[in-house]
Amino acid sequence: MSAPVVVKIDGRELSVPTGTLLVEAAKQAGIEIPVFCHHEKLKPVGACRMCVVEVERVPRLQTACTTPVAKDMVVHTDTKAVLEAREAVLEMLLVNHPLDCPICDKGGECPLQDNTFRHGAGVSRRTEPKRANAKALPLSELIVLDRERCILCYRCTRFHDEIAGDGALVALERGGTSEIGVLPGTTYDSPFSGNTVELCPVGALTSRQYRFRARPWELETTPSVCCGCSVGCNVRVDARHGSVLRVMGRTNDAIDDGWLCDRGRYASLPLPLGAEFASPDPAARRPRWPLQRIDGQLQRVPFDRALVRAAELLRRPKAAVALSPSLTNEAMQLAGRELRAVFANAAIGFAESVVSPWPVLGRIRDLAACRRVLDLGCDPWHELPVLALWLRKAIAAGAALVAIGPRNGLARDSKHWLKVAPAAMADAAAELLRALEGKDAAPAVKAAAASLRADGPAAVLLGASFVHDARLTALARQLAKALGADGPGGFAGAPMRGANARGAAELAGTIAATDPLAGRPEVLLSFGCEPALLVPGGSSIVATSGAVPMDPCVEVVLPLAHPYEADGHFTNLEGTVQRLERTQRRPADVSTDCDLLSALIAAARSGQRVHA
Amino acid sequence: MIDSVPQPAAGEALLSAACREAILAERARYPHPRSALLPALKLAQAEVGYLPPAVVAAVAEFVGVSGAQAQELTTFYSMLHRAPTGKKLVQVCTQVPCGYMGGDRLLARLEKALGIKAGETTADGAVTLERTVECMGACHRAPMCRVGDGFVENLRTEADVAGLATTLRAGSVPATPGTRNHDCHPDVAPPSKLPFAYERVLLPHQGRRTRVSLAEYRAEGGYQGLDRALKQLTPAQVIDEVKQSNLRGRGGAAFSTGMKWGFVPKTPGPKYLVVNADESEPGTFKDRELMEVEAHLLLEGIAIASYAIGCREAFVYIRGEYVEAGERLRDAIAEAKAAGVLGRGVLGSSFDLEVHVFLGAGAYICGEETALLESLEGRRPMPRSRPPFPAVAGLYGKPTVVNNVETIANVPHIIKRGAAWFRALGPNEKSAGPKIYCLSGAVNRPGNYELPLGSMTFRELIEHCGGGVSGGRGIKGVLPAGISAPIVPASKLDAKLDYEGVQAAGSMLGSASLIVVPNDVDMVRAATRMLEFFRHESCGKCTPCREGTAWLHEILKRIESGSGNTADLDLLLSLSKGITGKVLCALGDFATSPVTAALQHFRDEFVAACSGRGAADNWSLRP
Repeated sequence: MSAPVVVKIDGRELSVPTGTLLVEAAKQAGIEIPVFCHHEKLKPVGACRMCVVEVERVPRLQTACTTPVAKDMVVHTDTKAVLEAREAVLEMLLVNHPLDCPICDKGGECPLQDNTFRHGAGVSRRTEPKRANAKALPLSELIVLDRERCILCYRCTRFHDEIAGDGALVALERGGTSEIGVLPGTTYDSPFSGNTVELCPVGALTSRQYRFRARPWELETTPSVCCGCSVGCNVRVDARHGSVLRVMGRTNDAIDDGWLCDRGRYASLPLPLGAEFASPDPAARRPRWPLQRIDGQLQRVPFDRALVRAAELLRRPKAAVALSPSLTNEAMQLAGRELRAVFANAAIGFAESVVSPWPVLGRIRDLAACRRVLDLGCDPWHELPVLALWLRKAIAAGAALVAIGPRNGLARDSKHWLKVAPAAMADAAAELLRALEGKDAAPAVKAAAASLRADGPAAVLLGASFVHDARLTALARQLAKALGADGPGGFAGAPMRGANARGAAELAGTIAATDPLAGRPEVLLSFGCEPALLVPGGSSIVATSGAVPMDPCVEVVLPLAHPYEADGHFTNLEGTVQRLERTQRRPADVSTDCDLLSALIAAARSGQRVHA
Repeated sequence: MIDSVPQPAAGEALLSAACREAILAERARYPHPRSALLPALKLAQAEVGYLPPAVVAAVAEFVGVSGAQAQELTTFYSMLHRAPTGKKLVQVCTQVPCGYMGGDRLLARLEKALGIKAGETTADGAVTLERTVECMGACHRAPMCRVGDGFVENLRTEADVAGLATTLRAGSVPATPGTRNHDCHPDVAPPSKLPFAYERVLLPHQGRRTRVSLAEYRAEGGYQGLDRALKQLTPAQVIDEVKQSNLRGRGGAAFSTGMKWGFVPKTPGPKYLVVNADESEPGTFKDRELMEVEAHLLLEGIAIASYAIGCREAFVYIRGEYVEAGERLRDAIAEAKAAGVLGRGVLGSSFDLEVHVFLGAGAYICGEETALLESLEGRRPMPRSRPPFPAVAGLYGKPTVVNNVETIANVPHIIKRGAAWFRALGPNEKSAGPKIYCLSGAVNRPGNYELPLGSMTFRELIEHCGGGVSGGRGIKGVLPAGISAPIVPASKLDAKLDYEGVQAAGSMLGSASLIVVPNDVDMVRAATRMLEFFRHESCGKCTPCREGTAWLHEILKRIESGSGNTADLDLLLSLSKGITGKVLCALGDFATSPVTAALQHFRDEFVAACSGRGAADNWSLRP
């Protein structure tokens, strides 16, 4: 690493690595320099000018967010010139800002509010009218823009330029008329759009899901892990009166690097608890108590009665249990050890494949240092989105990405994309391997092989959709070996998609590899699968945190806590075990996966409910 | 198995095959395809007439960026249009000095002759008339307007305007044969006489309007400097010779050119020379003449500089309005390549050099070197924060030297005649050499005057070269560096015209674009007009400049209209203080000097305007 240098900030001496930005150095010394445009995950830009400081022997004020420390630098953050400059910047930022904090979602967690209170003059000398713009401009199904509130810090546009690389959101016009936007007639289309809501230091970009639902001080915050896919991004679950209203990032530099995808942030949110089980609106049909079909109608029943009925049904011939790959490790282990014992004749397994023939070797964070990446149909942009951001980080540092597959969300960043149909994947991989061995191949394949021949760590990913192709899997392993991706610093394997697929594969024993639906069951317990799996015409038992299905085959409904409401552990695709905490308020009848399984097992054994 | 290339589908219906091919050719031209975005948008606009979202989306698809990324440029550059215009777009410059040299009156006359107001299109769709606050680089031939891709200059009389209106209504553009431009009074200025002998080297053919051909240039000793550099000197020796000459950057910042070249790392890998020809400072028109007439001098300088820094691919970034200059430079490059002077094996050596001409699209900020690089990369032209400096990470992140046209034009002479010759030109050898002074505003003979740096005072230049103030008026002051440096009041016009002399007079020499402001020009209106420029040209990156220029302009407009009060004057100064020195690039600093200097020297005019007793309307000096 860089050699340390000694700098003095407001009289405090500290030693920091060369290249550290002043704003970060000050933070280490416990000195806060106010910022808007600066963000530790984005490149220095120096746009808002809020962070100016005085550096001795430098004539002009310097922006702490763009100035790296230098040997013997002496910095002052509280001189008259600095305070005046901050005040001037805040006055300028507010001349066109509507100051509608009482009706703004950001109010209470707004850096503009906070900095204005701490560093502003308290009055404005502006007499000219403010810039007026239509409020609440919908940019997409998810995001709304208020241009009047925007202070043009360019965090959102820089995110799409530097991090996502999709240029989905940009700055339009210029000078004082600049605004954030998209091409007219199109929408803000990116799998990562929610990150900009979180990056926005004012209430300019807001989430339509969360808008006007709560004030920040009413929220109870619980650390958890995203259940959208197997990357295992760390999240913060914000609930009001027990209802989860939003999910925010909880930066883990080794796993998510501070980002979430929209699937994790918006599409995986639990529904509010409902009681209108005949409502056409699924959002009103989340069970808050157990239900059993009596006289053709789903009716509320005591918990034990529902469990006993479920156990009874599952003992019939042609019964099956389909487990979600998003259950906690605790539930996985319990299912693997006990379910088979109590329902010996039932087919017990997972609703989607959880067992990878080639579990990932290597660490997600090591992807950033890879110099060569080969994607065999994994298409992380669409399947494991945050993994794609890690690959972009590697590419920005000079890595070459070669993709083979029918779909490639990173096409723009790929050095070569050999676009082939699924059936031709193995042939393409074989040709690439031949090219890597120096044998003859098509020019495009040779070129791809050439760009993979560089030095440095390598990564090889095989898509979950292709793990059934034994020849391709074998070739993928050979390619990984040829590129050294299975060695130190490398990353190799076929990550499965389910949030806790790896936990299932490691802990659920033999049931992990069973397809519960193979034998065309007539009784099916859908445990945690969203949407629930049913056996129309048969008997369905649904343990769900989603909507109760309207199908008459549903015999028993068991309310389940959503992973964001439960506690337990997930194992992510690289094998890291992470803890989910329980949101504080949850009705007694809504059980965690582990509690519900345990109760079901007990009911099957004794006909009575026993707490785990 | 195919290697995937974008297969644009939507664009096919919107753009002709020729246009699509031209876009793909642009894409292939540059080291990074995104550089083709701005040229591609211009090609599409040339075909469709304007850039509606569907066309922007098609261009984006061809270049390989998102639609939003293309729209980002479409909405930034003033030469890209989102709405249809008439067949001929007529843009009248009303900035200082054009505005008071008859520009405002020209606009009024055109409005009357065409029967439309500025911003409107004639009923038959033939003409759209626009008032611009952007200078177009023809201040010495004020008043002027841009018609289509050419300039119509010296529109002094009512008859000139009537002639223009008739031509426009007939659907054509006035143009002198052999050029896109037309000067209504080409021979008004007699050649100047100097009080001392001086052999011009940068603009040796004063008064000439056509380009010097390769044959002519060679006959006059051209490309001898390049020949000497390639055959007798190592790159390090070339850099050393330039260092010894004390050549300082002529774009305005006056940084040592040799030192700048010396910062380029000697490591292998691509390095770039980018010539800044985005001459957009009001009052500046020297680089235009250098490119239009002395194109080969510039190319020789480019070749020598490229050789010195190890560059194999050089770019000339020309402001979009200079279409004529761009074409002439392209012609000169073709001529040089055909003769083996550029391209593979320059002058029979092993040195290869490709020179690209890149035209901007109307944005003053592109004159700032890092904004220029962003523009060249197909991004929104906003200045970059430094470090890293361009010499380390410039164009496409590679080591890059950015030099002004005039700076580069000096290089062949330094190599040919030696650093000592250069240092001996002018009284001060620390800042010596030939210098072009752009003289405009209220003088009898406005134009480009090449002199040894610092050999004259303001007053001498106005008298000897400018032929005195027009109409025998008194001088209020001179803006020495376009509108970007404080005005030098009449009392200080005996200052020497070198970096140190002008600094001692409280201002900066900058690009040496001297705008003579006569007594009868109202400083409140002049300041308002200048702030309108900076407000329009602020890129929007830094808060103080983005919000501050707009606020300053709004206050000035209020004062100009008679509804200001004297507290506003203190507010103007206080706001200026919050901008100056607090922003990333120099534009913010430049923007405050029209306000602070005008208030320093002419406060009484602002006080009078606040009390409703504004100056009499003597704005348009020309009849």
